[in-house]
This record gives sequence, C-alpha cells and structure tokens, in this order.
Amino acid sequence: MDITGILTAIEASWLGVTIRDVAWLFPMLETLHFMGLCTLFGSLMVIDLRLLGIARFIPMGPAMSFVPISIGAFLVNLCSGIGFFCADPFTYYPNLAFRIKMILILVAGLNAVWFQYIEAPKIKSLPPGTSTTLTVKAIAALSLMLWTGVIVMGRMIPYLEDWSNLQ
Amino acid sequence: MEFLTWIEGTAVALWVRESLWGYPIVLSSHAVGMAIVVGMVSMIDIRVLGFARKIPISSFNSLFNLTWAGFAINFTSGCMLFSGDAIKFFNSTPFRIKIILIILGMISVWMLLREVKGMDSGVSSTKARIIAAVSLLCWFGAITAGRLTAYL
Repeated sequence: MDITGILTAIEASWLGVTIRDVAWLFPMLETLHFMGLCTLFGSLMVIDLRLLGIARFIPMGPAMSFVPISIGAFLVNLCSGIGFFCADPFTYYPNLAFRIKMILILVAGLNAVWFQYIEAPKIKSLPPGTSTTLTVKAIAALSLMLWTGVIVMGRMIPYLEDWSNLQ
Repeated sequence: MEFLTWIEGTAVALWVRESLWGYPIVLSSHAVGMAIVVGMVSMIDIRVLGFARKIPISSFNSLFNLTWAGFAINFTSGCMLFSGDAIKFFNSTPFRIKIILIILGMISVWMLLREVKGMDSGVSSTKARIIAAVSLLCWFGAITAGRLTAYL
C-alpha cells in the first residue's frame, strides 16, 4: 500500500470517523493534550533544572521520581496526538511544522533514553547541592530546548504548512 | 466598548492581526509560557499533596523565579493576543472564566507559598494540601476554558 492508501485507511478508521463526527471530542483531546504538555514540561523542568544545577538543593534520587510522571504525561499526549492525526491525516502528514515536531520528539526521546540508561545510574545517589558532569548538563539543556521546540512546532502546525510559507 | 475598539486599532493589535508571523509567534510564546507556569505550579502542588515527600519544599524556591518569568511571558503575550481581537475576547464567556481562574490560581499559589514557608518536613498541613488541590483545579480549569475560548 502506498502512503495515500495508508492515510485514506487512517482517515476512514473508526477512530478518525468518531473524532470528526462527535463535535466535542476534538476540543476535549486538545485540552488533554495541553494538560499533558504542561505536566510533561513541568516534570522535566524539575529533573533537568536539578541536573543543570539551578535547582541544586533538590536531592537527586527524589528528583528522579518525577520520571514516571513525564512518561505518563507523554503517553497522554501520544494518545491524544494519534487522535488528531487520525481525524485529519492528509493535513498532518505533509505539514512542515508537524514533521519537524515529530523529528524533535524522536531526538528528545533518544536523548532521554541515553540519559536514563547510561548517565542516570551513575548519579542516582548524588547528595543535594552537588554538581553533575558536563555531559549530564548538556543532556538536560538539550532536553529543555528540544521540548520547547516541540511546543512551538505544535502551535505552528496551522501556520507552517510547507517551505513556501517561510518565503 | 470605545476603549476596546481603540485597543484593536493600536500598532500592537495590527501587528498581531495582520502581519504574517505576528500571531503564530505570540501564540507559540503563550504556549511555552503556559508550559512553564502550569508545569512548575502543578509539580509544587503534587509535592505538597504528598508526591516525592523526600524533596524539601524550600528546594523548589530556585525554580520559582522561572515560574514568574513564565508568567511575565504569558501576561505580555496574552495582552497582545487580546488586543488583536479585543471585542470578541471581552464578550467571550469561556475567556472571562479563564481570567477568573487565573486570578484564583495566582491567589492560591500566593497562599500556598505562605502556608508552606519554613515547613520542609515530609507531610504538609491539611490546609496546605487543600490549597494545592484548589490551585491544580484553577490552573487546569484555566487551560480548559482557554481551549474552549477558541470554540464557543
């Protein structure tokens, strides 16, 4: 099946039809998506600003207990995001802002996985007030920048359809 | 009403409404500011409600300046967005509810910070927890009302 066939099938799917037909579903999913983004960004701020040293008095171990909140909020946004896509796949798929947003999420995800499996085990028992390595700080700064980019690109979807919009 | 018409005619309003990038740039700033303010406030709220009790509440203090910066971004971008379509926003019921919820949310954050001052121990007082719950409801309610402003 080519991409047009796939998008047509997604558009005709039960999920896509339902979200288009029930008037309040799309605004409700948008609201959930906004709540999810605040929760995700909030929990990442606690973790990343601790790693960067700005909130250095937060003990490292408990700061890490915010990771499941980040993951939960991301899942809320993944599900609501899939809902948006199914409702209107031909708008989202070719959209430039949407594509940049997806790439940024992918890079942010890889950055988080790298941190979680390679750097986090080394610093778990770091006492309050202590500084992290430069690598960890770079990961934390990158995380905040990437997710800020994700928010901006998400908001740009209606205004940045393709390169011609950039003039 | 004359005042609202005047606002809609200001240079800022024209830039937001008619320039190519004015509206998307201001709208994106508003989304980033929202993530900072509601994100940070809700994390402090859940800490007071009992999550991650090992974190002393005072260690969040250094993050609070950032929350104020986020609020400044959103107050500025919010005023700009309002100016672009002042009459519509002024008459919108969800928008009015949003503004009320933000004011209540700010009052609850102010009360919460007073209540937990110097109380670093694991469990917060019942009063502090009630204020934290009200704060969460206000800020998430403001997001809901803000979204509905675009539809109703």
